[in-house]
Amino acid sequence: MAARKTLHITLTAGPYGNETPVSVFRLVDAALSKGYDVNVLGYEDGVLLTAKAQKQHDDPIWKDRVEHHTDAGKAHSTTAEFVERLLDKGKGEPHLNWYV
Amino acid sequence: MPRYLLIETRGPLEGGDWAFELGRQLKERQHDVTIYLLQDAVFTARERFDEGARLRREAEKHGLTLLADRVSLRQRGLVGDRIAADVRPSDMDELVTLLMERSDKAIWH
Repeated sequence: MAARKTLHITLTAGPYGNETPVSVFRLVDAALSKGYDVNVLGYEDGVLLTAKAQKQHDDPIWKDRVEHHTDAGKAHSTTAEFVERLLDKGKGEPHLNWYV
Repeated sequence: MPRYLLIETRGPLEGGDWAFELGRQLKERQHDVTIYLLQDAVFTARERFDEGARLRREAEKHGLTLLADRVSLRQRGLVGDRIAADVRPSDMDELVTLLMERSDKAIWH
């Protein structure tokens, strides 16, 4: 049986600056779904993607709409939470390693 | 013949012609080239956009395969006949296959 292939990604983009982290999250998710192991190295600003100091925040546009507030679970996820979900998906096989 | 996958993320007016120029040079050296348009680069696929049309003509002239990320297209309102016929909408599933099975070298720009 052929060994499982591994996708290696070096990520320098930090959170909330541009779309790249989200694109990489989508790519990692798809790779795990297709059965590939994935290694991600967060580098430069990319190390901040997994910073636990981030907090969910409400969208100020919807301040009068309680259903959009954090307590209702509609706030924006932090990048650390996205990575956490990916790590949960990749905790077995196929496996995800996320390095910083 | 090495197979190159060029993932372009920049719009046509923000340096997104880079993958097309590199692709042209690689094709001249007999390499196989696929360009995956992601994020703002999908504006190249917009039907009514002169700079995008110019890049698409370049791609056709030099035999570059053009794919565009369906989510990026939708995020920018590019759906239906707003998408040029010479660009094929694609998705992360195909990008993973291209990366892992159908390319020898991948470059993200």
